[in-house]
Amino acid sequence: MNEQEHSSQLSALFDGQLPPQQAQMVIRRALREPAMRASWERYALIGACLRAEPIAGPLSVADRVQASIAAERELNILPLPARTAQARAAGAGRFNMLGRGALGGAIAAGVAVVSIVVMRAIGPTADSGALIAQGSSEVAAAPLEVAAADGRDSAPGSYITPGTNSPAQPRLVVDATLGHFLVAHSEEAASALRSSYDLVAGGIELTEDQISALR
Amino acid sequence: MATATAGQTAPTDARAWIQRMNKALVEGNYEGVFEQRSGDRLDTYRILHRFKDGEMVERLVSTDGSGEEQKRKGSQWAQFLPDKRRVRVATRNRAFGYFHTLNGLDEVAARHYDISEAGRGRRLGREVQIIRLEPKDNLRFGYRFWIDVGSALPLRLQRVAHDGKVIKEVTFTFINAPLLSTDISDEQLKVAVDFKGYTLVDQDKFTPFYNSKLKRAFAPQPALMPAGYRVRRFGGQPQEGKTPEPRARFIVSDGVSWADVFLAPVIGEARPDGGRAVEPWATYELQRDGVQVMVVGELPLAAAKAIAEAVRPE
Repeated sequence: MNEQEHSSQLSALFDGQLPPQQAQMVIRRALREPAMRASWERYALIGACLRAEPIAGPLSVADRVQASIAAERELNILPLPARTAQARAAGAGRFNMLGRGALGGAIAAGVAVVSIVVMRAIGPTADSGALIAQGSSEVAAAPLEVAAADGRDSAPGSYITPGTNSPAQPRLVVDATLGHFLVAHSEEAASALRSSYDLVAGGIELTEDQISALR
Repeated sequence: MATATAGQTAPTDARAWIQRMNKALVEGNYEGVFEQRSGDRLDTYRILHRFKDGEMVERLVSTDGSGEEQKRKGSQWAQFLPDKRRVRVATRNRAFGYFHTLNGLDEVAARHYDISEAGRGRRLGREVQIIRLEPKDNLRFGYRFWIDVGSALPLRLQRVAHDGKVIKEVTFTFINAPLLSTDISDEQLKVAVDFKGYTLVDQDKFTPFYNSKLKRAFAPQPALMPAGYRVRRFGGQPQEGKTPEPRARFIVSDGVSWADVFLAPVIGEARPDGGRAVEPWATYELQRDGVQVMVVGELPLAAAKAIAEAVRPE
């Protein structure tokens, strides 16, 4: 079975769509295989975040993800339907299918226990926590997968998963000469250089006409 | 969760998807929020893009609390920096906006990539077509696109190295498209920054398209370029009625991977040839006969070096 099929099975498990026997097989395999455990961790985090559940452990990744969600709301980028009571209930309902479905309480409890055990066993260390804050680890990709999963249930164009920003993320540092070329090359570079590359010489005060044209 | 079944179809079909995507990215109307992982950075932006009466207007809003915004209106680009109270402006002659298109992906360019359709999946509740461009050598990067079947916009894209390493990833977490141009008002495209009293910095002064201070005209020589790379077009036009000055900027591309080539007079002490990979960019600089050649692009360092070395007196 390839990685894609494993991923698909895990996804189905968390959606409560696997028959009991198959679910048990997937759980056993997840305990054996590191890659699958990593996927399990991501899905468990997604579920926990959607249910607003605290996650035990030395570092609460869920808290960080939720904090970023809260931060995004403060920026008023766009409404966040996933955080409304109705949406949260809907999200929780989807994940609660594990408890209501054919697997019953035993499997649901097993899933929860295995999730926590797996998270504690392979969960982030202080170092990897820093990586998550910079958004460069695989775990940090979890919110993106929430988008994919929940977007499936919503009308096209109506769903948003909050993005992530790390205020402390590293900024590109280059000398002024290279800075000129990078800014001329791309918008992305201009943004990456915004705090480390500054030009005072040659600057002029904006006129009213320029302000009007640029706005 | 998004899944896809592996599949192979004729490359022409995959190229048709890329062409659709190219058109949608420039001539489409959309708004969205995307996450961008580039090197070790992660940023989230909001984008509004409108194409109306032949003019592209694009507004990009950073969400990290800095208040930074960028706006592209035709060939005019501006970046608003509240923390520095500056507005940077520059001329961008290329047709695409923040997301670059693969306009040069023709049959010749396709020889350097394995291009395939890799099945369908779902993202943000939409059906997506997955397209892969895998580079055949280490002189170029490949791409993977998750193209929305409805709007032809890439809901996710990855830039990958020859060894499969993902160098850059963009993922839309919200998209509203396709829209009519009338759905995006002038008001929505106005920057929210109050930049009265800011200082204006014209970047074109530092990187002009033509430069009279260059004592000799240099250009990338086709015979010396790395396989597949060509000068695609020249940035800017010389001023009418003026004696043409030496060109100081070129765009070099293999149809997918691309770079800017800048030429400037050497000022100060000579510097040794050398380059660095500042992911997701590579830069390579060398000096010849009093001319500084600088290559900056989204391509491997080896390609940047080869392009720089192909720049010779005309």
